[in-house]
Amino acid sequence: MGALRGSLTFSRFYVTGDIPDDVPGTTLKRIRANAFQPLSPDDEKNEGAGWASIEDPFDTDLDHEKVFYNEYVCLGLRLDRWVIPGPLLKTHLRDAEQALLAKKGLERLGRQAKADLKTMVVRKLRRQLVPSLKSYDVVWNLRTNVLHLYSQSERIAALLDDLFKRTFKVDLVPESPGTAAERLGLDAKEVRAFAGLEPMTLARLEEEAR
Amino acid sequence: MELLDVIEGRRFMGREFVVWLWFESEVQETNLEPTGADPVSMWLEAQITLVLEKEESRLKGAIPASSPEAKEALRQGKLPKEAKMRLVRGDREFTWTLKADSLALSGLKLPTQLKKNDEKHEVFYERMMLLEDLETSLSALYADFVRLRLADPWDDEVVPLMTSWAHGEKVDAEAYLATKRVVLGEKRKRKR
Repeated sequence: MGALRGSLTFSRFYVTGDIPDDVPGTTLKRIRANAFQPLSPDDEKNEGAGWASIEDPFDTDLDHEKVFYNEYVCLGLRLDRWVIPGPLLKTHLRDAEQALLAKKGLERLGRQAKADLKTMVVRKLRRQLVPSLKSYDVVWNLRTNVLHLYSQSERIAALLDDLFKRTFKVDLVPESPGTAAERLGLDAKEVRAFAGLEPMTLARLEEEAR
Repeated sequence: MELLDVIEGRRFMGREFVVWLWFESEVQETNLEPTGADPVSMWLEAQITLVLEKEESRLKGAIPASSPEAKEALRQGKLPKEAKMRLVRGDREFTWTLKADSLALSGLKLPTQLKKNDEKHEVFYERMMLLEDLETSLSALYADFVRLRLADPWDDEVVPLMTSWAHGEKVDAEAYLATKRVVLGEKRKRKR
């Protein structure tokens, strides 16, 4: 579940770099430029991502009220994918191949012909299907510059990284034990200790040897 | 250090943080006093997963961290990879599962007062405020852990005490707290 209801599962990022003083006043145009665009059956790509309203992933006509909640930037990272069930594709491909062989009086198709046929079948099937839709809440606290992505998937984090940097022209540093430690503002002695750290164990040597 | 080294090369600190929280919670009978933040009660409950390389012990129960199997896993050199936790701050209770390698929280339940039929922005602000409250406590606890972990007494004083604790031996809680006061004392004073 996400930022708006239910229990929360998320990963955290630190927003760094040249953060504008007035994010709401300067970024809405770029947010709108990176809003989600519907997939077309004729596209080569199998998926597409972009911004949507955090409250309604079908709403991609973003305005100030839908995005800026006091000190929070709230967005939905919408990801649509064409998902064609394997057996369906296989059956349609076999039928199309047989029809083409009969039409051309051939016994088998070459590699390129097969690839072209698959593209054609995929596009035809896409017209009969609806892409699968997922949306992940993204909340950036402008006071702390901590961002919550309501997903722990590395793939979604990579999509966010790309889309966020493209939109806001700033960097995202993922929270981890190491990055959280560095953010504490370690003194010179602590920095040296941090660089030389080795993992600890609570096993005693005689037990480790067993 | 390069960012990738900081991230990948220091993931073990997350597991050490969880075992330190577990130790602190037992030594201080769940009453923790993070520097610069409000006191909290905190303990591990319901589920804990300890690992050493590919060996894993997954324990469930009311308070699995108190079970002999949990301490046995520590004695084998395993450390917590994931643990379910409960924190009480004032009259507010939070539960979640902490993933040690990333410090990520999952299944976090917030003590919200507003209901889903209340004004949607107010519901959102309440959730964000509670989340920030919890993160303030966790960040302060992590900061104390890091300061202690990077200080000289960690290897010579803290680890031997934690090892005794893992082996079911009597732990000199006063000695531990005195060490902690020395390391964190100056920083606590500066905060006041």
